[in-house]
Formats: sequence, structure tokens, C-alpha cells
Amino acid sequence: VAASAAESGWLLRAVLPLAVAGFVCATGAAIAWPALVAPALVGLGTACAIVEAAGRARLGWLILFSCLLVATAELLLWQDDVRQATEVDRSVVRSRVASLAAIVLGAAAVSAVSALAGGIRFSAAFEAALVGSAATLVVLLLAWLLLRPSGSRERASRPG
Amino acid sequence: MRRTPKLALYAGLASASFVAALALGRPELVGLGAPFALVLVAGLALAAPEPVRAGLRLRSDTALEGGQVDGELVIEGPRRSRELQLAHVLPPEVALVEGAERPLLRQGAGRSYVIPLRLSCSRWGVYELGRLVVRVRDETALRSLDQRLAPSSVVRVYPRPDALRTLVRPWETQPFAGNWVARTKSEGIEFADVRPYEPGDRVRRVNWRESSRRQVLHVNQQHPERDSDVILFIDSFSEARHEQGGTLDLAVRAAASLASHYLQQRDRVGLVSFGGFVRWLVPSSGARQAYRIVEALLETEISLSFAWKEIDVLPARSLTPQALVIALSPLLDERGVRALLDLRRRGFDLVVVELSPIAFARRPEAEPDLAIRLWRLWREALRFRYERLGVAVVEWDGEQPLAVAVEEVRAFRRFARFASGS
Repeated sequence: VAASAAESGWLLRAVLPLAVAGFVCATGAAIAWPALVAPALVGLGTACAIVEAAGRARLGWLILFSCLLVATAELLLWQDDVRQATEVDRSVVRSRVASLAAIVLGAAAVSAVSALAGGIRFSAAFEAALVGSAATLVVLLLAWLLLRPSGSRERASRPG
Repeated sequence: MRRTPKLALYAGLASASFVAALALGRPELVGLGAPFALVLVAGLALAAPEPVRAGLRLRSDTALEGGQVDGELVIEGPRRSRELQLAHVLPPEVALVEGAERPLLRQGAGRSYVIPLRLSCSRWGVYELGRLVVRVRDETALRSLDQRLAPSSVVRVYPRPDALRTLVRPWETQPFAGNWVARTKSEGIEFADVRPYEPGDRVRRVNWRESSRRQVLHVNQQHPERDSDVILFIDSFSEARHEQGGTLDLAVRAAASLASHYLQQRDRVGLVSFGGFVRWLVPSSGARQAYRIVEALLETEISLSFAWKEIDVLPARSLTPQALVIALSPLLDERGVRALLDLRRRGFDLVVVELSPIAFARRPEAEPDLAIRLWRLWREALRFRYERLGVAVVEWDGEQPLAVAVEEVRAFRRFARFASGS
């Protein structure tokens, strides 16, 4: 019943309101109300799920949805921790960024593997986009490694 | 250790997407929930957060009221790197001037973390510092450990003494050498009188001018320099108080100032805290007594008690004969009022510094403030009762310097007659 409802189109009409509601809740959670994190994720996740269940999403979109959703969840929950603190150590930011990057990469890999296992294949355009994004990321990483100030290592090891 | 809401949220999202994938027969939905499941599996496989050990080290364990204390919070190194959120739980009288109140920090494995702090102490007292609330999370923030760390340091904040140029002069002095010019005649510096020569008088004391005029040898007499006993009598039965302070604060400030100045004058100073709990310090002199008095003042507090107490409960050596008793009282409790009258009737040289509770009373909204006016009248009548017995009563509200109150007492005593305590 659910599959036919998703494919018939009337459930697709709920995607936009759900996505908007999820976005509004996410904005509210980011500004002041951490209790809205769960409704935001449920709204955004349900919208993504409907689009995917209706068979409208290709593999590239699927991976993108997964990565964005988990990144949004991580950032909103982190925002709540940061709001409670009066001062955030620089090493906390570094470690959080690193773990966020690891989670996003892991999410991309896991969702790609699970989708491939389900028989969904890449399109040529997505492959090009994926290779381009990875190359940009590597170039930016190299530039940062070369151009970062030498004192940053000392500052990182200063406490203790 | 507890599970964070993140764990429940991620578990819910992952399981909902897997159930939806099964129900709809769509493998795409597995891909949507799999990242959350991955975070759950990875996070729970990692090590759980370990307890924190931290302590506050102060550079000095004493400070003056309104002063600052430097210190550092040392968090011992963990076995694995971790993220900590700290919150300092400070007494209301102590504020953090430098250093974050709720920092979020990351600690490397085996490395202790030092946070420099500067604290300001707004009120006298003894404060336990270093009380912390700590939250440690695992790497994925799925589990957290909340801890309340016990205080690790104590700071003693001494009341800041007011500057006094003059002091209330006691009626009577003690037999030991000091800085007060005694009323008796003996050997000293200040000239007192001349009298006929008696065998045994030293020749250097002969007043030759007077002797030649009267054709009989006369000798000079001087006032000797003696010390005195001063008892600071704090009425701690009750106080008037608002957020910024109270009459007990005024009493402690005044007592600290008076004790410090009388001790500098080489007098012997004692302390009596007369209230729910009765405490006393036998009069003594010197720097050690100054510290004893300040320490005793720090422990002074209002203890609610309905038991009737009279001055008899005090040991005789705490109220030495011929001592000047300076009472610091809001004159609110009948037991304190009666005790002071009793002291005067026993012949003690008494001065009452009335710590005005009117400044701390809540003003009525409606005009005219009849209750306040009646209260003022009642207090004036009470003051008159003391003045009739020759007791100087001076009102001090803490706004004006204590020196003004001392000067008022001196002016009163300059013209007052020493009445018998009847």
C-alpha cells in the first residue's frame, strides 16, 4: 500500500511541505531550540525517503541525501554543545571537523555500498561529479597543508 | 555514564529507514539509514568515557574583600584523548574574572590540561572553590559521563578594614605600658601636676621654678602611658539584609577595622559574638591576635535561636574589668538590647555602634510610610535609653566612613559625664 501510495504521486506532494518544515525546524534548532533537532531530522529524512521510495532518486542523489542528512544531524547536535559553552577550544573544532569529515565519507561509502548491493547503478554524470569533487578536495587539502602557518602546531599542543 | 539523546535519535532514524526499506521493498532507503547505523556501530565500539580528575590550585589561600585570587585548574591526563565540557560552580560571592566559566575543551592522551583562572571575592568569608560539573563524551558523543567534582581549595576572604585616623579613647586604662595617656598620675611624658617633694622622689623631677616661687621643693607629676582592653561585642542574634549586604557585613567590617587599629595602638583586643551561638576571644595583643580575630570574624554568622540568653553566659575573662566595650549591633533583638544595658549597669565603659537596619528595610509602596516613621521613633527612644546611662550610641549605615561614626562617639564622650549604671 505504502509503495503504491509513494509511486502514485499523492505522497510526493507531501515532500515539499515536509522538507520546508524540516528546514524550518533545523533553522530553529541551530538558532536557539535544540529540541527541534529530532523533528528537523525526521522531516528532512521523511522527505528524502519519499523521493527515494517513489524511485525518483538516482544513486548520486541517494548518496548526497545520506551525507547531507547525517552531516546536518552532526552539525545541529554540535551546535547545541557549542551553545552551552562559553569558550570553545580550537582543538575541539579541529577534532569535530575531522570526525565530521570521517562520518560524511563513511556515510557516502556505506550508502553507496548498500545501494549498489540493491542493484542501483551510477550514471555517467554522477561519476564525473564524484571524481571532480574528490579532486577538488585533494587540491584544497594539499594547499592547506602547504600554506598553513608554522605556529599552529605549537598552539595545538599548548594546553598541558 | 548515560546515553545521550543522539544515540536514541540515530537508532530511531536508522531503524525507521530499514523498516521502511523492508516494507516498501526499496533498497534506496537502506542507504539513507545506513550512515546513522554506521555512526552507532563505530561510536559504541570505541572506548567509553573515563572519569575526570581535576583540582584547583590557588596561588594564595587568603584575599581581601573585593580583591582577586589567581589560580589554575589542573585536569589530569586521560588514557585516551577526550572532549570535556566544564562548568564552574562558584559561590555567589565569588566571580570568575579571567577564564571561561563553561569551556568546551579537548584533552590529549596522557597530557594534563591547565586552565589559568582569576577569581574576585566580593564579600568576606570562607569559600570552598574548585567545585566543578564535568561532562565527558566519547568520540561520537553517543555516551557521556557527568561528574560533580568536590571542592579542592579553600580561600579565606578577609574583610577590608576602613581607614581610621582616631579611635575611641577608653575611660580606664590597664596597668601595662601602651599608647594611651592614663588619667592617673605617675611617671610618664605628659605633664599632669606638681606636688610637694617627698623622700624618694628623683631629683630630675624637681620643678625648680615652682620650688623657688614657693620656697619648698616641688616635683612634677606626669600621666603614664598605658594600654587598654577593648572588647568588640557583635550582636549576632539577627540581622537586616538584602541582596547586596546586611548588618552583619557592616558589623564584621567595623570589627575588623577597629581590631586592626586598636592592635596597632598596642591595646589588647577581645571579641565576643553574642547570638544564637556565643563565641569569644580573650583579649590579647599583637599580630597573632589580629589573625585570630579575623578568623573568628569569618566564622561569625546569624544562628537562629529562640533561647533567652543573658550576659552571664560569657566567661568572666572574656569581659575584663575596665575594658572598653564597643558593641556592634542592629538593635533588633531584645536579647541583644538587654545584654548591652546589662553590661552598662555592670559598669563597663560601653559604646554602641548601631548598624542601621533601616537602610536594608524594604520601603513601603504607599505613602506616607507610617510604619517606617514609627519604627524610627521607636529606635530613637531606644537610643535615648542608652544615652541616659551615659552610653554613646552612633548610627552607622556603611555608606559613610567608619571614621565619621568614631568621631561622633568621641564628640559625645567629650561632653558626657560618666554616669553610674543604675
